[in-house]
Amino acid sequence: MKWIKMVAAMELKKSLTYRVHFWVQFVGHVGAELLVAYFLWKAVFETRNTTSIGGFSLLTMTYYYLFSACSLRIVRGGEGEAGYISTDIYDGSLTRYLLYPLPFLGFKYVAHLAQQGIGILQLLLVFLFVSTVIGFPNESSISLFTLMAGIATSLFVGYLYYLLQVCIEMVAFWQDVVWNLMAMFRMTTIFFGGAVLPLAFFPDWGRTVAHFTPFPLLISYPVKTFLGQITLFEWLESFALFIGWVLFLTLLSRWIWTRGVKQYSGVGI
Amino acid sequence: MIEVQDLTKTFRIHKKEAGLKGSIRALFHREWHSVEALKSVTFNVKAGETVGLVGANGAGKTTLLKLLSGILHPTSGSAKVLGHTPWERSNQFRRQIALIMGQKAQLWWDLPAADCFLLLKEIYEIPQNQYQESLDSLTQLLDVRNQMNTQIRRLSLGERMKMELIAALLHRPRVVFLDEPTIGLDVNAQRALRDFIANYSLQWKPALILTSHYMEDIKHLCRRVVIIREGDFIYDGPLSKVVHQFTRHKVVTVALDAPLNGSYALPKHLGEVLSCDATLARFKVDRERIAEASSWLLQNCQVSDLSIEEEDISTVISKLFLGSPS
Repeated sequence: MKWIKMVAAMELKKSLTYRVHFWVQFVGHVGAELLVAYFLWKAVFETRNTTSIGGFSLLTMTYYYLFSACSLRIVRGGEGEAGYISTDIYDGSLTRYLLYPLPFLGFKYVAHLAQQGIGILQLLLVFLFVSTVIGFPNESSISLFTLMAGIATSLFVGYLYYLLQVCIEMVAFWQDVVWNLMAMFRMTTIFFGGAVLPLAFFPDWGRTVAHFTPFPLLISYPVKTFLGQITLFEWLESFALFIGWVLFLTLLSRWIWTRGVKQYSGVGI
Repeated sequence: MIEVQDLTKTFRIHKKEAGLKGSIRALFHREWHSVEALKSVTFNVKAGETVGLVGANGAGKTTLLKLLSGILHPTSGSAKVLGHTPWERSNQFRRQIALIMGQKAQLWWDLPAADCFLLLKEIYEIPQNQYQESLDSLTQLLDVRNQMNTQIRRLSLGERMKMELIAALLHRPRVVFLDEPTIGLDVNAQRALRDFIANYSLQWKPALILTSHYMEDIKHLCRRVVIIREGDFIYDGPLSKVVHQFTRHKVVTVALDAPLNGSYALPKHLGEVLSCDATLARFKVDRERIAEASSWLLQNCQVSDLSIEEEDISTVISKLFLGSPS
């Protein structure tokens, strides 16, 4: 099983080879989103002439967006190797993985995990910078413990994101082009996950709909953990839901894989 | 080592009319048709045997290799490679085979070859001493030691192909499938790769199936050849007998002492003139009548030299691709 270490190392090497991409991805995904959210909410707070909206102060709101951007980055794992499954199928690169004596989906997940590691490094850098510049909100429950718990939560919900992504990417066994499905999936994740707007601001029916999907688990769940806004009971309840979705999607992904690989024609070779 | 019985593969492909109109129509309705890439083929390959698989583009060569390496599932038929059904892709099976495709990079584009090889060492669970020994020997034989730390995408086609070969052979596979390994390479690189494959085959005695459009590859490496046309095997036997089996003629070339005015003529029943100029002529002669035709030429012309040759194998095989001689 030494290949796991090697695949992770390989993915890290690949990511770190292109250092401009590394910093642009970092600044683009996290820094830009954070700045936009900060100035937008600052304007809202000033217009309303209030210091709290829905229980969030401007500073807490800033941290909410900081953690949602970072969580999204960690959970998605940079969409490196795992993001290329449909391309692998489309251009025949899957052939390589069918030849090697290792589980294809396992290989891709290890690559995804390595990318998550890079996301954590980026989170720590940006967190250090932001907390030094703007400090912590007075009502904050953010601590080293919540930071670690948030990172751990983002790491394991990353597996759920990976499974969802894999199931969609594998549609490429039957349909050549799946980028539109992936775009829809990303948008839905961002919206129902609470990256655009905290779920607390959703109407009741919106929250109910979101609750029946895996999306709040992908962003809202780790962000609440980072902010220390989740009780142990709520955390465990979400964890149980996570386990349920993972079991379902693991079976689904295996079912799709078994059927899909029979369709594979290795074109492009 | 390789046992194939009635193996058939049919692809379902959608047809689209050319042009914008066709594209719009295809949005609502698609026509599908079946293409039989492989038609019930049966053959065996023993350990240490190198088989050349030749055929025109689209004849089914790559499909056969993909089936035998477990990438594709067949429509019907069976195959056993080292006792395993290839498309079940057991790890034990995959640890003992290699597929090298000249037209497709299998190594990781953004990594140097050295890193790719280390990863493969772990994937194939190659013991450190065997890995080092194989790597040293392969890199030396293929003369690529100085390129080991260059990203794969920055290598020339020849260098990349050599790295692909090393990657595929590091684990010393018992069955090797080579799909056009010399495609696009210059003459020297082709020769180097051919020599390398020949040496490897001699040393490790794998069952090896090679496809190539270059007859030099086939002539150099394979004693046995399988000719495939539109998914059917039309010949499976020694390379040396292809010409004998598929041509009834030999080529007789005569050189004259003095230039000839006019042209040569053989009695019709002996053969026909292929080409002639003032001092040299070539005749296509039925192999049964070679002695008779030679004797006639020696008696009736001032011959300074006479040679009898088989028709060039490349020409024969090219004709077979096109459907003749039958």
